[in-house]
Amino acid sequence: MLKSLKTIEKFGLVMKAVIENVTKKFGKVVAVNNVSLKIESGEFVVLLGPSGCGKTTLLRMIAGLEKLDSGDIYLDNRKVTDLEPKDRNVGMVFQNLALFPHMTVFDNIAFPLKIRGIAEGEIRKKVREVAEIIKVQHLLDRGPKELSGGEAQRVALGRTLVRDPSIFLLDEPLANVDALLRIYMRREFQRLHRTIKGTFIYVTHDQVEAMSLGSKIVVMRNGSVEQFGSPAEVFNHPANMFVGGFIGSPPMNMLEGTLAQEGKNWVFDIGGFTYPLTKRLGEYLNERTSYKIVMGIRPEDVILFRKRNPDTVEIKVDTLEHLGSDLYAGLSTKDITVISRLKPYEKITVGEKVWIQFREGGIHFFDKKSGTRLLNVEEFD
Amino acid sequence: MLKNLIKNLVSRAKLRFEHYLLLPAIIVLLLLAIYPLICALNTTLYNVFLTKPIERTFIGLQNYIYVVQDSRFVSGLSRSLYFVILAVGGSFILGLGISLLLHREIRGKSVIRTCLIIPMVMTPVIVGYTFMFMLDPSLGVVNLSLKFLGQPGHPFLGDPSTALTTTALVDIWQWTPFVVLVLLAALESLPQAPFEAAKIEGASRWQVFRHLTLPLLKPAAAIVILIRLMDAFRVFDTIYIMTQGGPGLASETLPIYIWRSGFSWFHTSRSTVMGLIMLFIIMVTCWIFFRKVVAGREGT
Repeated sequence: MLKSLKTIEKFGLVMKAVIENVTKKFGKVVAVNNVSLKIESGEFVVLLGPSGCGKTTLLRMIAGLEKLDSGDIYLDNRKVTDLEPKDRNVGMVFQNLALFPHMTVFDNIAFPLKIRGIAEGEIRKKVREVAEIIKVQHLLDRGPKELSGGEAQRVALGRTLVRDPSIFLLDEPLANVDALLRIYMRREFQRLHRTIKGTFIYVTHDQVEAMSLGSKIVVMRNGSVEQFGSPAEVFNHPANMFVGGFIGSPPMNMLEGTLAQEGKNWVFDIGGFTYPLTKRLGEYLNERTSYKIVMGIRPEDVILFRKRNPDTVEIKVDTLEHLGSDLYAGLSTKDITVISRLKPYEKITVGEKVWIQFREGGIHFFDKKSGTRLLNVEEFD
Repeated sequence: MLKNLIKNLVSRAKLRFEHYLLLPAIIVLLLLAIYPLICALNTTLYNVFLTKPIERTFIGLQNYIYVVQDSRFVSGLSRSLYFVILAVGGSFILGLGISLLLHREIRGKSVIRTCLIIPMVMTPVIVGYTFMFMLDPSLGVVNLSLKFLGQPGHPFLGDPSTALTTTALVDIWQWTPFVVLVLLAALESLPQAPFEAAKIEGASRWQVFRHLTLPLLKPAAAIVILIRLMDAFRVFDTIYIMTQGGPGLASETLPIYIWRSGFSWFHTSRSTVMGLIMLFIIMVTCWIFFRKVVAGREGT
């Protein structure tokens, strides 16, 4: 009791999960490197990153399936670092679902209750309740092999729902599911999160999943947290080049260049291609870095003109990708290539000469050497 | 029309070609299994002695009637059943235990595994002799150890009340590694995730074993028991070397009696009858077992 009071003092009352300086090594490989996170109650936190970034390892450590090398994990203001998985009151859905192959759907969902010695009648009632939430009432007598991908998915969820864990851990639950079902299940997860008002930690490498599901996104790379914030923050204010490049499809255009002065005016020189900067901006950047600068601009912020306008730059259409609802144009000069997202009905041909302008608010500057963000033009003004 | 006809012919020819491919196997089966079986069945209807193979008189089912009424056959069969239950049960329980112990990250696992194979690869005759010497009442290491510990020695193979059990224990010693190898391989090929899920859902180690490990191991266990059943039923060499079925008839299992009847008394037809009965018992046992355990699993 005293111990939990102490942790309340330390982290505040609403913290559902606190991860403090957690490190995990497998042999010489550092899988998770000094990660700290605070997760509030009711949040849907997505751990996002390329494969091998440590996101699954971190989740497994929260579940208690991996031992920590250093650091601490608190769940519900209770230190669980050295507790067995069963004593942590977490629910987990695995990538391959991990349904018990020799049990029916009913027995799978009932399993957590059965091993707790709960009365038969109570179990039946509880399983029915859960089956209704996840819409599998009609499948209770089937075996896992007779279920479709989506059904199996929901049963795996049901098994964790049935005993009301304090936090839900989901390890790439949609990785083995076909594209259409994934879109459907994304909505199902959202609905479920709303219905049961639980706290979710969800691991994925799919940035679309992360953006659409998460109330917070943790972007990870090489075992470290690159950014922790809401989807909007992560998208609009990427903390570094990695986050900028990882989130968004197609990825942010990264244009390497140097700061230069043409007479009195500051320009960003990308080699045969200069972009005018305001005086304040130029001076600001000049103070911050002496290295090469990278300009990041998302495809939707590359605005295309058919005629020369003031502050536009001439460029040639190199490639065109029609994707139905979008049209991606690859635009090139001798030195650079940028991707622009256009409306699908835009009449444009390969080889055509066009003019582009970058939307002022969409321009990000990163330090080339460290990769960290110098600023976003929008927040500067 | 013509096209269809050609197509038909081609598919027919293909079918016939496939049948031809089965021919060698069918011939081998006919020569080596079906024909001898028919010969054996034929033999049981005559009064045939190994010493006088030409002189045979047709006696109908008299051999069968004799064997069924032969008390030595019945007691041999019951000794065999005792041997099988003890040897298969013992090696299975022991093997399951050892495989569970080995199913974890331990240093030198492959060395342990290799050592485990040793009893299995030993010639049964050698096993028989080795144990005979080890169990010798005056010189054997077992009795010497017992005496060293202040316990009275015991002629394990010489005492009619312990001889059969002792031979079964030797069989357990030799064949437990086989159970371990199969069950360990089965354990290691089980998916990990359901076990982790069970751990998170709050199952204790016993509950994981009872609700997950055991049911998931069932197919492999069934196969092991099946093979062990067939093997244990027809064990001859180790028992013969150690006791020759004695003392008295104390360890005369069915295979020993059949051998004695056929090759000591040269009563070929009677021993053939007993052999066929034994074959029948093994087949029925396996069939029931297969139906109940292996196939029954699919239903639930």
